[in-house]
Amino acid sequence: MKSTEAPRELAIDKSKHKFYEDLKDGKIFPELKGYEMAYLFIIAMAYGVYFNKRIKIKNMKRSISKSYIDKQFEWLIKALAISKNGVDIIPDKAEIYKIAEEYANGGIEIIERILKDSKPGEFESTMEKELTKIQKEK
Amino acid sequence: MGNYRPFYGKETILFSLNPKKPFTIIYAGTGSGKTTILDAIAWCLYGKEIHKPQPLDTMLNDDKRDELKKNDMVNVSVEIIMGESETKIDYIFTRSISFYKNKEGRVEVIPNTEKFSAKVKDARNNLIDAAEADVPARRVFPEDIQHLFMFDGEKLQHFFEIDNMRKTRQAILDITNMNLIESAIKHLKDISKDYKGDEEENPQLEKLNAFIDSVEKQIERNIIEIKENEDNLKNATIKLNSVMESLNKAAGADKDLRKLINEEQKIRGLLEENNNALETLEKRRFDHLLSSLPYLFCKKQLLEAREIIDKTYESGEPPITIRTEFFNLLLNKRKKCICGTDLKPGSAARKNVETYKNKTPLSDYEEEIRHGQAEMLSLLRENSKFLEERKSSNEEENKLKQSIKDWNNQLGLITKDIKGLKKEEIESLYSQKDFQIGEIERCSQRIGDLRGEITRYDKDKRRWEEEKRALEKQLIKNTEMKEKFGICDSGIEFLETIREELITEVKNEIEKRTDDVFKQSLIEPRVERICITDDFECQVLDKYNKSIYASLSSGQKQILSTSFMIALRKESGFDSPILIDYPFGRIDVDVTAELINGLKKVLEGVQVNFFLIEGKELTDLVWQQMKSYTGVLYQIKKIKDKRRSEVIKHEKY
Repeated sequence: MKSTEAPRELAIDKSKHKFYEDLKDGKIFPELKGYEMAYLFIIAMAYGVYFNKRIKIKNMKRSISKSYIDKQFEWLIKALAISKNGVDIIPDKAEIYKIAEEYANGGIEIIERILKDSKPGEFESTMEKELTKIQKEK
Repeated sequence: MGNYRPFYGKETILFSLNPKKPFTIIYAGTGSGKTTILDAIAWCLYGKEIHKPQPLDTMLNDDKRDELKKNDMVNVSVEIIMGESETKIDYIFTRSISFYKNKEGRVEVIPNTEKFSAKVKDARNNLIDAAEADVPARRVFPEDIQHLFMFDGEKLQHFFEIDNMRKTRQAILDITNMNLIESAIKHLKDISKDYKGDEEENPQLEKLNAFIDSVEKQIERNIIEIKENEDNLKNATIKLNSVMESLNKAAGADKDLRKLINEEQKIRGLLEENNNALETLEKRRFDHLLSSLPYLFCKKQLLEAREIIDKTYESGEPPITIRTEFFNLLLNKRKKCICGTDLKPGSAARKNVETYKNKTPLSDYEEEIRHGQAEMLSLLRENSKFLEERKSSNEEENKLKQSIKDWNNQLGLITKDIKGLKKEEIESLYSQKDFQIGEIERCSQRIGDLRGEITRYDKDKRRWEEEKRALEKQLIKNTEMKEKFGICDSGIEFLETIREELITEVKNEIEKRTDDVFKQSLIEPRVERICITDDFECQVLDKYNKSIYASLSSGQKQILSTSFMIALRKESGFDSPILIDYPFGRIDVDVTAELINGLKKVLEGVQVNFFLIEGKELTDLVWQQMKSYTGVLYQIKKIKDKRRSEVIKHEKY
């Protein structure tokens, strides 16, 4: 098992960069205005994980500073990697973040689709419904 | 009253003579003949109707007129009997006029039949015919100041609003009989002209004449401007009265409207508060949702990762590369421990190291992994509260939404009510009212300024006239004429001094009395004192000497005017009864009570006769307030299908 360094900046697909920017500016969903790209990346990753959509990034654009990722989220990213590849992945930081990037790439597509088709308030209500369902699961 | 206007035959009204119950109330429906009684008194005493003047040939009662046969004659008469009681009579005034029906069937006044007579007490207390009836009439009820005894309550309310200074000054001049002094001065000036002779041209005299001429022209210009402003003031007052009438009509609705508008504003405030709270809560709820989402969406992975790590530790399974490399190096390449112990295959030391190799923790990553393990546990615990938090914020949100719904419902009802009350119409009336009040204030202010200027011009004029007279005196060559001119001059000077002193004295007295009476009648903490200025403006001042007249209520203004009238009446020394027509017509019910109480206090023992509109003015509340002070109660009632009214005395009430 190789030991690697974590990237300084996380990658997203070039084609999704504008969507991230628009989300951040509240153009697509006003309630998200002001959230940082790093946070949106985590949300996208969570969507990708939950809906099991992992997509390899074709045109990589490293635009999200890793330092902006909250410490707690770092462990979420590591937990995701451990759950997929076992504890031996811990030294391979590059691989850990690559997994997160691919899930985020899948997740952002889901978010894009939901926001595109949803009526006002539907995004939150669907989100809440899913979260409640998860919480109730033992 | 005999056949006088609506009164057929003889109708008698006996006003209360009981000092403990000095009020007499005469109530009637509109047009029944209430105000006509005041005019009957005025006609009897002065030979003219003052309140509702009508042609003389209509004075005969219509029913009586119809009864007349050709060449029949009939009298219209009014008799006023004054005294302490029905037997102790001091004066009897009688005025009559004769009518007849001519051959053509037309009823006419017989020329020169109007007679006025008076009976007065002689030295032995016997009633004898007065040589000149006008003399005792003037003594008892001087015509010049009749408005101080017989007044229209409605006009009284605006007494000081319109041409305050002129009215105040005029009233003071009336009771001081100043017109007599003025005519004496004028008379003396006319006489002295005869003693001047044809004086030579004198440049100084010409200069003084030019000054006087210029100031007189300025006074004339001011008078013209005053007249213009008075017309504007009158128009604005008429318009204001009309607006006030409309507002009074809407009074009930207006009060409700103000209440509703206040309530509407309150609810709008609460709605805004609730909407803001809801907005904040919704944002908080979204943030909460978003912050929980990553952990909950990845809950399965977190649990799996934890399980993997736990299994790693529980099984003692050697993890990852570094540990393996270290032990391989030790056991396979060096075959010696770092302390020098031989690790030969089969040796006890080698067996021990091999045991450690199998039991070694996750070396460099142990700390990181253990930390992660704790973090994951904390994340899972933290997010297990999600539902509880959601439930509590859901309740809060529902409560707020329900509250907003309720307030919106209430607001809808109120808005509907407000629309029903013609909000725009009433608001427009209020803005018209404000505009007309502004106009009245502007005109009054201008009139006041112009009158102030006239007072100053008058002073200049008098000064120059004095100089002129002194010069004229010098220029008279004839000694005898000079002496006579001098006598006139001293007389004029003397009378002018008396005039000024008298006016000042009476003004100060009236000011003090008005102040006393007003304060006795009304408790208005803002009022410090009533003041009549040097320019004869009656002002109500607060403790900072600021005029607060404009902020007084209609009733308070009426009490102020009544106080002024009472002060004038007391100052004039004429102890006559008071007759007030339509006293409560345009004032609020609560103010009416205040006014009645005020009148009770300040007019204690004075005979006061009220002429009230049935129902509108004589309400249950007014009657309850006045009952204990009322000695006599009359009703003037129109007789159905007849052209006459009858006077009904209510003995029991």
